[in-house]
Amino acid sequence: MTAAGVMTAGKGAAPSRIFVPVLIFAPCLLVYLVFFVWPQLSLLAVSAFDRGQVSAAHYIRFFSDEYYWELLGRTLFLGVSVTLITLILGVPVAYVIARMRSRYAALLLVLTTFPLLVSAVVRSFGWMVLFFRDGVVSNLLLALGLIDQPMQLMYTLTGVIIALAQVLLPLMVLTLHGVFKSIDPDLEHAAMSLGAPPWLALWLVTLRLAPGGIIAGSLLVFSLAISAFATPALVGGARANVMATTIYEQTIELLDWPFASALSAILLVFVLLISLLYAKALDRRSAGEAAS
Amino acid sequence: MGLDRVSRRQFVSGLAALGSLPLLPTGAAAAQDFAGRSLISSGFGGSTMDIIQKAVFDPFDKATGARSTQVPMQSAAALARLKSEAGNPQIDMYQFSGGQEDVAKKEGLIQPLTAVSQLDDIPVGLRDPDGSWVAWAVIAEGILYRKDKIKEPPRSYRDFLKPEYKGHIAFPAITNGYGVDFLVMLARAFGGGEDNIEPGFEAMKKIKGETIFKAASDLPSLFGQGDIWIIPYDSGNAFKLQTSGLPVGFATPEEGSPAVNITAVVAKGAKNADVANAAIDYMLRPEAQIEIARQMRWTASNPKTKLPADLAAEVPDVSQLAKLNRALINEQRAQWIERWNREIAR
Amino acid sequence: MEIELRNLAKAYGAVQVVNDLSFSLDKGEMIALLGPSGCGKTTTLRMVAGFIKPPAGEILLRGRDVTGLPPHKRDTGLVFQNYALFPHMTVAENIAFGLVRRGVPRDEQKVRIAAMIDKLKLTGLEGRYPKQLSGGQQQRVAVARALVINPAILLLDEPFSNLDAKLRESTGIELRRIQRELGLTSIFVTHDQSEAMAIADKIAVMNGGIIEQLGSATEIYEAPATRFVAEFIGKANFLNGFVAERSASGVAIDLESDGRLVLPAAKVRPELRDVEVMIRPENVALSASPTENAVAGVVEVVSYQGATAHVIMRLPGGQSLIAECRGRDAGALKPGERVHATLDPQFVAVFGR
Ligand SMILES: Nc1ncnc2c1ncn2[C@@H]1O[C@H](COP(=O)(O)OP(=O)(O)O)[C@@H](O)[C@H]1O
Ligand SMILES: [Mg+2]
Repeated sequence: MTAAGVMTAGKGAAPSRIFVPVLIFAPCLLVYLVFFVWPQLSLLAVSAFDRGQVSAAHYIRFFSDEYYWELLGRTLFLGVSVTLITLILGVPVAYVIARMRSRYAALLLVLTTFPLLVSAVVRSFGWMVLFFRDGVVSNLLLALGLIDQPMQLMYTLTGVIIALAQVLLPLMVLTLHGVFKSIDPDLEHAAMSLGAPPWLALWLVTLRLAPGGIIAGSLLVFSLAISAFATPALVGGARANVMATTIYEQTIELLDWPFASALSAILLVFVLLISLLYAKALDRRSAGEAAS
Repeated sequence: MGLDRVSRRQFVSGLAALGSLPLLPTGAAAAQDFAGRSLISSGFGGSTMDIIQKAVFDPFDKATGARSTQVPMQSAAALARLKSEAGNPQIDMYQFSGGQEDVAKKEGLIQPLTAVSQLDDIPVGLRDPDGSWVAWAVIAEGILYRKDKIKEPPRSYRDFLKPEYKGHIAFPAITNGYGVDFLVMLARAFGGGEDNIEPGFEAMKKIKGETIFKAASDLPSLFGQGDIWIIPYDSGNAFKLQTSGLPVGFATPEEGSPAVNITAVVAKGAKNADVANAAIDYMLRPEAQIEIARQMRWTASNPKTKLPADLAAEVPDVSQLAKLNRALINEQRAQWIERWNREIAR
Repeated sequence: MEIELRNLAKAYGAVQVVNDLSFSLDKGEMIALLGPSGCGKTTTLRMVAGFIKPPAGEILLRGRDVTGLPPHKRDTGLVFQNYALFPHMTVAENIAFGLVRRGVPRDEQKVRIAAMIDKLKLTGLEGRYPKQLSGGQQQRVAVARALVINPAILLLDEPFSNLDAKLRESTGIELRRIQRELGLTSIFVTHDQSEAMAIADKIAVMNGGIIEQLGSATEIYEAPATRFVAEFIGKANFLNGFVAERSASGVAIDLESDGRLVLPAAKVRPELRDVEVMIRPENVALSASPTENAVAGVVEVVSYQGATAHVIMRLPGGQSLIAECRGRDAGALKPGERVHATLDPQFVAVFGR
C-alpha cells in the first residue's frame, strides 16, 4: 500500500490529491491492521469454532446461561456506574479548572492526572488499606455515625466501582476540561444576566454545548471501566466477577480459548451498541447547533 | 560455613540427629570433585531463589567446587524453555512448583535421575516411580490463624464452620490453587473427596458469606486488619507473615496437609547432567532440607530429615501430608470453577 | 436616580484596575464609559452586572443596594462585545431565554418576542441559529435578548466594535433611538470617542481605573479637565509655557516658543506655574501679520482635506502647532512661509506640567 502510494505519487505530474493523506496514514493504518484488526478478527474466528467445526456453541452457552447474563449485566452496570460517577465528579472539577484564571490551573490539572501515573496494582493496594472492614473508610463512616457496623468495601462490586471511578476520573476531567475551555465564559454570563443562577447557566448553556466532550469522556471511561482487569481482580476479589476477569479465567486458568473469545466478542458488541445509543441520545439532545 | 553450622545444630538437637548421622557418608560419597564445572538451574526468582541459593547451591558448590547459577523463571515459562531447547538444553536442571514435571516426562524432555543416591529414601508420591523427577521439598498447606484471637490451635478443616469464627474467616478463590485444595479438603473432612466433591460445596456454602480473596499478596492485609482470624493457606506464607511481625500461627489439620511439590529434574541431554544429579542428591540431604525448613518453612521431602523441635512444631512432617489425586482434580477443575462461581462467589 | 455607583474599586494583585469610581444616572440617561483599552471599562461594567464583586464601594439600582447580589438577581440587560448568543438556540429561543427564566406566561412571551423581532428588524430570522446570521443581525439579536426583559439598566460592552464602520454608525443611531423610545437607563462602554459622543448623554472619560472627566460631549471636548482628556478626545496642540503675570484682568502666560497669551483668570488655577497650554486646531487662526495672543512660525506641511485643511507649523522652540483652516484658504499657504497663529483665549485650556 505504501509502495503503491509512493510510486503513483512520484510518477504523475499532478498526483491525485488522495495519495498524500493515504501516504500519511499508511504506517499508522498498517500497524492498526496488523496489531489490532487482525488479532481481533482471528479472535472472533476462534470463537466460532467448536472441536474443529463452525459452531455457535460458545455463544449458545453464554446466552442460555443466566449466570453469564448476570455477568454481562454486572459488567455493564459497573461501566455505567463508573461513567456516571466520573461524570458527576468530573464536570465540576473540569469546569472549575477551565474557568480558573490563576496560573495554578495548569498545575492543578496535572495534579488531577496523578492517579494515572500509579500502576493499577500499587493503587489497588492503597485501596485495600481504605476498604477493609477495619480500614479507613469504614472507620471514618463509623466515627461519623453514618454506619453502625464496620463496612467491608474490599472484595465488593461497590469497592471496584469506587476504585475504578477514582482511576478514570482524570481521563474524564482532561476530556471535559478541553471542551469547557473552548466554550466562551460570556455565554454563561449572558445566561446569568438574563436571570439564570450559575448552576442553571452551566446546565442550560455550557453542558448543552459540551455533548462532544461528554460523549468522548464517557465512552473513554465506560470502555476502560468494563475492560479493566487489574482493579476488579485485586479489589473485587472473587465476588465481583466481571467479563474481563472471567475472560482471564477462561483463558489462563481453564484454557478455554474459544469460550473466552466468545466472551470478548460479546463484550465488544455490547460496548459498540451502548456507545452508539449513548452518542445518539446525547446528539439528539443538542441537535440544534448541529443544524448549521 | 553454612554446612558446619547446620551440622552442629543438628547434632545438638539430639536423638534425631543420631538417626541421620550414618547417612552423611552416603551423601559425602557423592561429593565428587566438580572443580571448574558449572551448573545452570531454573529458579523461582525473588527471595525464594536467594534463600535456595544460600541454603543449597552455595554449600554444594563449596563441597564440590562446582559453580551453580539459578535463572529465574516461573514454572510454566520454565517448561516452555525446556521444550524450546529440547535436544540442546542450555539449562541443565529445572525446578518446578506447578506439576510441570509430568508433562516434561511425558514429552520426553527430561532424563532419569541416575546418580541420586537418596532417591529411594523419598516416599513414593514425592518421586517419579521411574525416577524421572523428585520432590526435594514440599510446601504444606494447612490452617493459618491469629494466635491472639484463637487460643486453641484449629485441628481440622471442619473448624472453619465453627460458629465462633463466623465473620472472621477468609479463604482463597478457586482459581487460586490453594482454593481448590481447600474445597477438596472440606469435601474430605465431611465424608467426600476428589471423587465426591458435593460435601465440599455443601460445607463451603455455609461460609460463602466470608471474605474470599484471590492472591497471596492479600494475606498481610487480611491478617493485619485484625478482623480475619483464620485462613487456609500454607506454612511458607505463615512464616512470612510471622516474620513481618503478625501473630500468625500455622496448624496442620488432622485431615492432612495438601501439598505443592517442589520438584527437580535434569534436562535430557544436559551437558552437566552429572553435576545436576549430584546437586539434586545434595538437596535431598537432611541438613539442606532442615535449612530450607528453617528459612522457608517448607516441608522436608526426605523422611530421614529430623527437624529440631522448634521447627517441627511449625512445619508439617512429610507423613502428615494428604495425598491428593491431582489427575482427578484437574479433570474436574473447570467444572468445579463454573459451579463455584455460581454457588459460592455469588 | 436610576443607578448610582459610589466609590467603586477593584484591584488584580497589585494593579488597581478601577479606583474610587462614582457616577449616577437618571432614568433614561445613557452614559458612555470612554477610554483606552485596559483602563477598566469592562471591569466597571462587570461590577455593575454582578460578575465581579467590588472589594470597595457600592452600587445602587433604583435606590436598592445591589452590591452583594449575584448577576441573576440584578435585573440588568447585557450586550456583549462578541454578542455571546447561545449557539444551540434559535433567534427566538435566544430572545425568549430571559422571559422563560422570569416565568413570563407563554402568551405574553410570544407577544414580547414578536415586538422585539419587529423593533430590531429581525423578522423572518426567528428560526435561524446564530451561526446563520450576519454580524449585524447577531448584534441586533443580542440587543433584543437584553431588551426584551425590560431591564432596570442596559449594559453594553463595545457593542459595535465587531461591525464594519458603516454599519457601526447606523446601528449606533438605531440603538440610541430604541433606547430613547424605551426610556432605558444605559451604560455603554467604548474606546471610540466619536461613537461615545454621537450616542451618549454623558461621557465618563476613564484612564487607569479612574474617571478623568465626567460631562456632556461638548464639555469634555471644549473644556477638557485634564491633559489626558484633551489628548484622548479629538485633536489637540500642547505648547509649553509658564505663568508670567497674574492680575485682576487676567493671567499672562509666556510660551517657550515665543509669544505671550493673556487668558481669563478662571482658566488658570492659582497654584500653576509651569504649564501646558492646549488648543484645538480649529481654534487656531492663521494670519500674515502679528496679532494679540499669537505665536509666529514657519509652515511645514499643508494637508488638504476638502472642507478643511491642516497646516502644520514649526515654532521657534522646535514644537509644532497644527491649525485648521478652510480648505479653500489653504492654497495661499506655502511650506517655508512665515505665518502668525492666533490662539483664541476662549478655547484654550491650561494644565500643570
Ligand atoms: N481577571 C483578571 N485578572 C487580572 N487582571 C485582569 C483581569 N481582568 C482584567 N484585568 C486587567 O485589568 C485591566 C482592566 O481591564 P478591563 O476592565 O477589561 O479593561 P477595558 O475593558 O477598559 O479594556 C487590564 O489591564 C486587564 O489586563
Ligand atoms: Mg473591555
